[in-house]
Amino acid sequence: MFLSLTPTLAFAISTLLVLSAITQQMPTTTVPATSATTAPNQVSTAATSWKIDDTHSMVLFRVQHFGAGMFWGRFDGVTGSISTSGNPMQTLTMNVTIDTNSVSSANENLDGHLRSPDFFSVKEFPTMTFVSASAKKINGDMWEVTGDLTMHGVTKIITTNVEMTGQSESARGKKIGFETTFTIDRSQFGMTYGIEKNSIGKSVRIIVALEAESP
Amino acid sequence: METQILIFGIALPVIVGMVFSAWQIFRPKPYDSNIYFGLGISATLFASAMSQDSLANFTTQNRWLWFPLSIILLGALSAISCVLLRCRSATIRNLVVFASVVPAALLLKIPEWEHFTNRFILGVGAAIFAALLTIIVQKRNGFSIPMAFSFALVAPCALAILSGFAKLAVPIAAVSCCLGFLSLVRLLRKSQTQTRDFVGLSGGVVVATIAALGVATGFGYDTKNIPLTAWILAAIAPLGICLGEFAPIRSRPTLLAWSHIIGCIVLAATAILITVVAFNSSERLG
Repeated sequence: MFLSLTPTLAFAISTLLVLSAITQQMPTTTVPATSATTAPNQVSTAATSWKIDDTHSMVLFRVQHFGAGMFWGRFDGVTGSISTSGNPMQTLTMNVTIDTNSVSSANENLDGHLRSPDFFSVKEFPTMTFVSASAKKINGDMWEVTGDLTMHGVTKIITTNVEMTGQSESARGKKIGFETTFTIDRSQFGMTYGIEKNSIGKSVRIIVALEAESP
Repeated sequence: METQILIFGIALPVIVGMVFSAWQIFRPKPYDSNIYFGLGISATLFASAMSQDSLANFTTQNRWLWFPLSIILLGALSAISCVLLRCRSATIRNLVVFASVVPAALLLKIPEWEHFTNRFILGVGAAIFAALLTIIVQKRNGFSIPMAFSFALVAPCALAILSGFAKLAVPIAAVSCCLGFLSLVRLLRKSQTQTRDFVGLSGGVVVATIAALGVATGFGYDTKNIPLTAWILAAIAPLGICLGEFAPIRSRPTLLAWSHIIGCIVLAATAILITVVAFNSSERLG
């Protein structure tokens, strides 16, 4: 009886051993791309969604005043989402919304003028948005991002180089940072006040600094 | 620089308005003032507004331009009504012209006035205001009425500047200048011209509507929270001419003329004072 069962038992044991060995050799596909436990040379394609941290993100702008000095202002209300995939990062998409009412020049009276229809017309256009359409990795942490910038009711396609400034994971969660600088012609967005009399420049340099966190 | 605003925002539009309006002074006919004055004033506002903003996506991107557009349409509509109804009774003509203020208000598609009901109430209010103003305007043919209106429109102009809306202030300032110049022309031509009504039906209606809808536009875009009282006073500042209609004053021509002007100045100055007190100063970027 015992002897007759021996071949069956031996086959079952050997089958279990083989299955166990196969299972251990299989790659892990459920580990997030940004996980610190991922091996450095291991490529992952899992997507990570990031929420832009309003407190630690800002948009600065710079425009020439009366052909002389540079006037600086900022927007504090920056929200939106970023999506990345891979480690190192393989894809990047951005959806950024800026609250135009959050414009600040450190002078309350000037802020009132900036909010008026002479400039951002915040009651009419309460937000500015940037929605990326494509992103191409240039080298290292530099990306060439193309997307739709909507400002003052006008949408234009812009292309800008975006740098991923850093990525970390701590007790406060996973964080990622981006920065870009680009220049727009504000008259193309219908914001023409002061151009003809040369009191406010036509070109506006915009610096966007984003910090986002993954839930 | 600033010279360009003076030329394209004020001087040229004023000339446009003067050309229209002066026709009445030099070629008076019974119904002329009902055509040319309103057209002239509305053309001044429209021309000046066009010099202030990009015409790309006109009134969709720059929705405040519905204001000058509604005023020029009102000027044309009131002129056409006066011509077509010149053989009819004055009451019918007046009612048609006053009623044309309502569609002008309905055209405004600006913040705070998106709802049809709000715009309709604004239009009816402006029409009643225009009717009250026109009762006096049609009785007086002196220089004091346009002069008084010139001072009255300083209030919405000043409030627009203080709220940071310079683009709105310039066209209203142009109308104010045009009225000022026309009153001077009227003063100089006083002995030669016996015009029955100088500003006329269309002129009175257009000025009243500029004040009412101009203030509504400024209020709609205001982000500096200028007191509502100031906006209302600025809108009704042209009603200051009522001061001259009190019995002891109206029998004395010189006092009557000065009272028209002083009444408007008092209302306009009060509106500006309330705003200035509400916030000490205002700076503009450029």
